[in-house]
Amino acid sequence: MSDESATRSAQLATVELRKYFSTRRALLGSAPAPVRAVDGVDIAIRRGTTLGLVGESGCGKSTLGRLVVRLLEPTAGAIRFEGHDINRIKRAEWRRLRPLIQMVFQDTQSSLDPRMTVEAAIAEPIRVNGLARGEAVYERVARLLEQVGLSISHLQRYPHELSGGQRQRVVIARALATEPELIVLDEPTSALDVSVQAQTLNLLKDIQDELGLTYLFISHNLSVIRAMSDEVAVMYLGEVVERAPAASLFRNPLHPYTRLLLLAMPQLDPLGRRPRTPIKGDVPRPDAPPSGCRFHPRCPRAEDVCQQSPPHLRELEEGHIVACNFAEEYRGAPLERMTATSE
Amino acid sequence: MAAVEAGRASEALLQERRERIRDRRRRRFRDSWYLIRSNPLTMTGFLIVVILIAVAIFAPLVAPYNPNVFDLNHIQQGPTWGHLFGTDQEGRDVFSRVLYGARISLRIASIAVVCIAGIGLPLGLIAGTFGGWVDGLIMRLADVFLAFPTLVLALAIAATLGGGIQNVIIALAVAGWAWYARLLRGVVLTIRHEAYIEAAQVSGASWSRIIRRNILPNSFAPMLVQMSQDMGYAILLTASLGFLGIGVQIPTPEWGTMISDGYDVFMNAWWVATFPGLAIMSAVLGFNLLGDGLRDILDPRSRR
Amino acid sequence: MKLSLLIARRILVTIPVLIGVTMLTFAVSHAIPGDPARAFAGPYADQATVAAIRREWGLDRPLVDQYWTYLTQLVRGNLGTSVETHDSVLHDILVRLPATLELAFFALFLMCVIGIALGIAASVWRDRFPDFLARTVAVAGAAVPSFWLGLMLQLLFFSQLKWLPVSGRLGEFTRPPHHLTGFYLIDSMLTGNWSVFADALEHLVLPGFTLALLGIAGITRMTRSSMLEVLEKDYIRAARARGITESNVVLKHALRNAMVPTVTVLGLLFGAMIGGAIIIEWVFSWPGIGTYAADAITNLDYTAVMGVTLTIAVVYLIANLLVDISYMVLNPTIREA
Repeated sequence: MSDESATRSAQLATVELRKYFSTRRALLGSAPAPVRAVDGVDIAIRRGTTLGLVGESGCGKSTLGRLVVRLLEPTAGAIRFEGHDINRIKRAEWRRLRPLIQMVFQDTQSSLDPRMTVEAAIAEPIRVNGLARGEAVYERVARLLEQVGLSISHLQRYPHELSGGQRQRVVIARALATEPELIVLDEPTSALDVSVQAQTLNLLKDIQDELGLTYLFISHNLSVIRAMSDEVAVMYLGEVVERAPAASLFRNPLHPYTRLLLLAMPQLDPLGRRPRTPIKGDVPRPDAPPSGCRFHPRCPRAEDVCQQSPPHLRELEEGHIVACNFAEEYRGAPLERMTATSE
Repeated sequence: MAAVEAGRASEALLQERRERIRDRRRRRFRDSWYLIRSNPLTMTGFLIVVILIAVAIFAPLVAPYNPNVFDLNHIQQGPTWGHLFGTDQEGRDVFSRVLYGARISLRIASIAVVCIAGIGLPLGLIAGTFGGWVDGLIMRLADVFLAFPTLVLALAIAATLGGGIQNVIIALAVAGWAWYARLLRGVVLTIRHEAYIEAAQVSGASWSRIIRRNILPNSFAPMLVQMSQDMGYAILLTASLGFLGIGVQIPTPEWGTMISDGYDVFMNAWWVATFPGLAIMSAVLGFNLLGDGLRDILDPRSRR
Repeated sequence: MKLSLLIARRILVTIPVLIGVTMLTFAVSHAIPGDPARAFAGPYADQATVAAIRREWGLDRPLVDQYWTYLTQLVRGNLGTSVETHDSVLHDILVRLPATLELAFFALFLMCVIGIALGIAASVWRDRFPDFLARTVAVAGAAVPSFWLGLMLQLLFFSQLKWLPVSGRLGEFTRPPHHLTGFYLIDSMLTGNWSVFADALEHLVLPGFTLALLGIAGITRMTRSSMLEVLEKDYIRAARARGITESNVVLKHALRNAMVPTVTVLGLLFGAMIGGAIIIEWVFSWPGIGTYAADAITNLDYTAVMGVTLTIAVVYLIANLLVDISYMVLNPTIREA
């Protein structure tokens, strides 16, 4: 499917989305360069599927998530949900659409009001959107609790009386309260213990199957992304550098950055065959991105051309797009090979 | 999307819910009481305040004499069983006057604190929630008022307006609101950026709802603590104004004016000034201790 | 952000506040109920006289004009003429300033020394006598009405014990030392006049202590809690493990870090002290600005009251500015804001 038609048939799509933050101006002197948190991102998610958004901290994935739920307004570009440009529609229209796009946050502790009981927290979106009144609210809350695997004994508890995993379930229940169609999950399991992570991810998958939800799954953890995603997009310094169906991306990544990320994934390998390949250098400052391809200072494959002009996203295989001048070389290459095929 | 449900929930669910809420309330009450009891300082403060309020309400019933009646036969008599705190230079019973003084002080202090909170809290709330130029404007205004030490400003205003209960309250309110505005603004600013506020926004809540349901309940605790301690401070300020003669008008028994009366005869009749001072000290102490204790009680995390 | 920039910004922000302060003072001074012209002329003067006085004082002009006159006069240093002393208010204040300053510095000294010592003692001997003493002082000191305390101390130390004097800066028959700074302690030291020094010191003790008590309570509380916090920190444990003596650990390492939050409170304490000074000076007949203000209040000398209020506000503002700047200098993390 070509990119154009993918955008058209997607439930959620962003077009050249940009978000710049201006740092505080000094008292005297000119304003410093803005932070380009999201710099020209196009993504598209088909209904009922999961798009995994992965990258290191500071790459802009969280900002993108916030833009999609309209916690932030874009500096440029458009976000289309079911064909509607959510930043330009009328207020009444947005009121209708907003409940359909919800978010699950990372920090379970601070994403729940410490003074609200579980019941109040979940009931709040129901009441705000007028989905039920009076006693019917309690029925809905009870049903939602059931759906996330909690019992009604938890209803009158406060967040600090619950475990991390339980709190996250409450956050999920709250997100489901408005009967959304798309949920943005921003590192939903990063703050949880490993054992609880698996449970929560399974729960999320079950709910998705049951309700036909679309997920925008944001994480820095590749294993989690692999487990959850149908399609994956890799971000670096505000740009998407590679996007592909999950299987395709993990089998044969074509961008050096993606390849390095995969190499860095922890492997259960008693013989220690895979050599360690750390990514050299640090993530550059977001208000001073490198020229040309933003990854070139840390890229083992970089050449002069990479510094001069930024590579565009090109579709190399079915649904697999990459922004690298040398992506073709990596087709079919084993993961360890990072530099030219002649080596 | 399902149609709006306005039906009835299952009876079992409602019943269970009611029970749990009742259990929770009972437990919270027990816990609060335990927290008060377990800390001797808080307990002391609590008792003092309770006694103070009781005295203020029941003064007419408890006081042995009319506080304003002269008795020129018994001028400046030391403490005896007939006059527990002695009499002043007009022959008035100091004990009764101290009791009635509690009424005046509490009344002024509570009205003043309500006024201060009534002005300062909304302004602080708006400044903290909306930020931007609104915040800047309100804070500059608060800065102007805060540039004066509270007592000094209250003195200046009370002196200009003249004495009397009403003017004292005005003076306290004008001198005190800025502190509250700034305080609440600070609290709101810390709450403002928490994830649960963002979550409420994503759920579609309007700002007025977020303020009402999320920001205010979470700012409540520090504000209540502050208000409790400020009751004490207001009593102190009122007494200071009274001492300098710009407070409550004579012959109304107010602790500060009583000390001022006692100042002249101090060397001969120490009791006239001493007991009102002790009363002030106890009252302020009580409110301070209670305020400190409240801080612990109101934190939902402090339960077990 | 650069330090000098931060400081400049902080100073710049003070200017509109300063103007606001003059506006507020102006507003308050015009809140006098009744007609000041009439009050000045007396109840028997006729309309024409009252009107003439009003014209002379400029009361018939629009408020904005009056404010402008007020402001321009202020900038020239004219705070008006005291109705009581018939002197310029500014002159009155300046004459009495050294007395108040001496008392204030003495109280400040007491506050810091006693407050910090108590705070340290409380944190080192936790839950034992010094701690209880400190906590009692912290709690009780904040609750005591200063004027009442002054009276009690007078009763105890003067009436009963006859140990200390209770009024004025010097005994009735003592002549002040040669005027160099206006501070009797310093002047008498500089001229070697030790009997006057002792006398002045005696007179400073009671009012100084009364004034300091509120500050002692605050500083004790803050020092104690921040010392307790700092003593838990890992770098203190590391210092002990390195073999540094306990007294060094406490006094050199812990104290330095614990003092930082206390500095922030200093500005507030200073303000509270100014307020307290008015009443305490009056109680102890201390010939400073406080007594001047208290007398002005009782005598309804509005010009003087407003003049003193404005002066106090300006001094307080500058003091807070200095505290903030020194905090910025001492604490590098603030600069990142």
